[in-house]
Amino acid sequence: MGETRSEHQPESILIADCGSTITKVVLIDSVQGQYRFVAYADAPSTVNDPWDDVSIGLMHAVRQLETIVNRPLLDADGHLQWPETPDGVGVDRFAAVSSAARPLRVVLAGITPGISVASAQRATLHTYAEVVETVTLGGAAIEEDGPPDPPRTGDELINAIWHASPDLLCIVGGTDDGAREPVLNLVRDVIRVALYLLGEELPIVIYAGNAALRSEITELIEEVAPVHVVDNVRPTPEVENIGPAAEEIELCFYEQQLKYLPGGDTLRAWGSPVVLPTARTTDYAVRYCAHAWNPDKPALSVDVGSANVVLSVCQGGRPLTTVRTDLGIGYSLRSLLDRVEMADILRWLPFELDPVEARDRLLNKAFRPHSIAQTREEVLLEQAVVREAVRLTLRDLVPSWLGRDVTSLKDLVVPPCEPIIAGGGVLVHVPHHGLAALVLLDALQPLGSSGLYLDEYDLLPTLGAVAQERPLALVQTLRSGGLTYLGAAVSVVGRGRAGETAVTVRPAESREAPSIEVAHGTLHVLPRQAFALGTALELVPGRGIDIGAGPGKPTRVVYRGGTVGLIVDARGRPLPDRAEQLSPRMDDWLSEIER
Amino acid sequence: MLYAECFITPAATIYRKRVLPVPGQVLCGYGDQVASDRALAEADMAMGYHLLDLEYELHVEVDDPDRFLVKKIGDLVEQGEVIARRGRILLRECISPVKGRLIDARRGKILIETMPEHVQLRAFYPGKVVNVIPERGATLEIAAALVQGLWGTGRELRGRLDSAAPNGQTPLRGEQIGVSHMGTVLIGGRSLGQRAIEAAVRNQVAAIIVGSVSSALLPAIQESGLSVVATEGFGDWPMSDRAYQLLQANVGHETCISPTIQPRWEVQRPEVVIPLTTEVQPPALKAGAQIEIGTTVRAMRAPYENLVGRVASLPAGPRRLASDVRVHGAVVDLQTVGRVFVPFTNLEILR
Repeated sequence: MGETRSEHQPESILIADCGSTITKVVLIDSVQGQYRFVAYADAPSTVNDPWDDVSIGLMHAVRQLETIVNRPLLDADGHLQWPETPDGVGVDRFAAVSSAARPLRVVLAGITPGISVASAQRATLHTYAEVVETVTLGGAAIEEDGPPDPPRTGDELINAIWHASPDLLCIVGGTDDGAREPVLNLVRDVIRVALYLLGEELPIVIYAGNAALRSEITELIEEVAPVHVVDNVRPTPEVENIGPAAEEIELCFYEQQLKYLPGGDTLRAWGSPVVLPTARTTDYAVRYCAHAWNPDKPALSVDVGSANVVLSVCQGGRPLTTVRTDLGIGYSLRSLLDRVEMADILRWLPFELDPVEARDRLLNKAFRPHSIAQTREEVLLEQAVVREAVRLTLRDLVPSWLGRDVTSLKDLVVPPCEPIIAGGGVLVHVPHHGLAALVLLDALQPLGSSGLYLDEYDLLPTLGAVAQERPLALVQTLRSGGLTYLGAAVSVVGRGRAGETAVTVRPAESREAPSIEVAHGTLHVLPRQAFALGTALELVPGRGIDIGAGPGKPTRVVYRGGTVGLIVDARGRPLPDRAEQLSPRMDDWLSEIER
Repeated sequence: MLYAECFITPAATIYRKRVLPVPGQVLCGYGDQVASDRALAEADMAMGYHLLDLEYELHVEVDDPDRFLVKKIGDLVEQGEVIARRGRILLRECISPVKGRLIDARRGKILIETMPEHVQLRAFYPGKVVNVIPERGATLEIAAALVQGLWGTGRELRGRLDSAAPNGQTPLRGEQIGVSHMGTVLIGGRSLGQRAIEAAVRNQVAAIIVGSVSSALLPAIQESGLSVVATEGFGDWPMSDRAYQLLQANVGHETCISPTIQPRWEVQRPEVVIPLTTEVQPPALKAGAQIEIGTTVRAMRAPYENLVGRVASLPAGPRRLASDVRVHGAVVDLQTVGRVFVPFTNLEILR
């Protein structure tokens, strides 16, 4: 495919992102010798009943794209025309990503709940997997300090695994050269029997425990199931090493689930031999963003879909992804409502809403995942849910990313990021971009200065799909304004009296120009016309206030406008969590951000 | 375009797959006309397992369990029955803790499968077998009236359709349910309250079809064991006239209620199937209808949630919603509110 051109000659590329609710297609093509984003279209996904074929929705989306670009891409039989013909029919390359496959059902097995099992749990968060059962010998903690599970008998553990009917069984336990007998007992008396009983429904087995036991474990299990051995997730009590296990789990997701996406044959026939997981390709794109924007700051992507919430961060060249398959705003809304207190959702609303009515509305949305909010009230309700979903996902990401456990709200803030990119229907299809910006600020509560962007055309996951083979397509498309710049957000750390000045903003080079004072507890937006683009602004914090350069120290930002503008967030960090502190002020904050 | 669809139809040919949860034996053949209680397939389903430590029980190292077993692999064992024994004077015995089947013995351990449960998969719907699924079951072709709902709970069951609701607009009251409703599938009107749930349980009602339920009542409904289908979903919505009238017209008929809702990763609507005895096979339902002028649709989101109407026009370009978002959609003549613009994504075709 596309063999006639060199790697440096831009090709036309069609990329599909088959989600659980919406299938999106993006066309990238050469404009004056550079890759550029040309058009985007979408259609309802058809991965489920009554269609059970992802290619039907894909075909509808491509037909729409043909209308938009006024150029045929499919032939009369509905097959993608590739490579592109000299008269511009078809495309040179096709790639596909998907998040529509059912997540892996994972059973974790370890000695006791705690360190190793907790690490394995974190390893599952890197892809589309859900832990459906955790079996531990319980009893006295051997290597972990946490309270032991109420011990279950061997029979109960065997039956728990058997009833869970997992796609993947991940065994951990023991530091390298550490605990032996408990791990061997677990495998000999429980795992091996459970695997034997699962018969033809045998899961993939990963061993990521004490490295000294690899051959013994393999020998014990091999008789009933092949074992994939990877590095210990907890080689020492102090060191967590979840990378190899996470990669193996992701590979299993591909092998067990994504490969069998209904209708996937069409994607392969169109020239995409491998359909990559959307979270993986987003991760590729975020790595590039971290490199291209500001290598000293982490790049962060927030994608809120119907079935999943995905946070991807790259800091210092180290990528990290957290996928929560139980927190989406459509298909997963029911499980989301089981995990979030309704009061926590309602505190983000500027109006009163009866909790039962809110739950009724959200449950109806869960059963109509394609539907969109039609009134402002519903938009704000859905965005309130998104704030909580992102915060829950962040809670999982923070320990791996920032190396700290989340024990209080103070731990649930993120460092300055460049860029922070929002994706997903509820964030992208907003009446005012300010609403998306406010969701990011409320959910992530970034410190210092961060650039906020919106991925309106699903470019991160789609371009990430060609990042390995056609890196220029990713680089040139994103550089040429593929993402929508919302504006910079400068956040204030430190408390002051309400009404007192927290930050003064003034042009750095012109002392005569009027300055803008932002009071504590408020949010202030300098709209896109406030200054000429490129103007250097000096931000001077009040005493003891930190806006990224240290307490009381001024900082400079170059004014770059944005669809929202420069946001000075003087509400403090962390934001208050009680409804009576948040809800009455939401109206003011929304009014300001939507100016 | 692809649109959401909801079937509320007085006569159609529908196809429903009936499968065992585990592999078993299929008992029907292609072309069979089956009654609703006919067994389509059967299987022995394991319910759980027990692992016994022979070495611990017999106080001896066991290299070859066969030396001690008094039962053979595959034998049925009773609860309390001796499975293995050592010694003659100082007797040590290994006793089965459950009724079941001895399925394996090795490395000093014995594995017993708890007595498998024999399950039979019933046709549930009267119809014709049009596809046999080896080891699992069959697909049935059924002539029926069909009412799909949005939410449901409980188990699938059959019963005579009865009505306790004078209309689809008023909530079902406890005093409207009596002993004559025992075992019936009851048309409940607008919504369900705590007292109606209690009365339904007291009078052994099998299932209730209502317009809506409040999420606050979910624990009570689930605890009651009632099968419930809500045609319009959660909240306080009347049952649509279309659904109410169709159900009322079939009062007295045997009705199959399948309240199963979608698992998180699939789409499955709860439904009421009223089998028809008709000489002429009604047309088959096929998904994929298009929205055209005159199409009957239901709006799915506020401010027009659950209102039904006909498509009046199809504007060429996108329009701005109250939320300020611009989207493609249709102008729909909705009952009580008149002509309004509704996004395509918020419409479902009623068929």
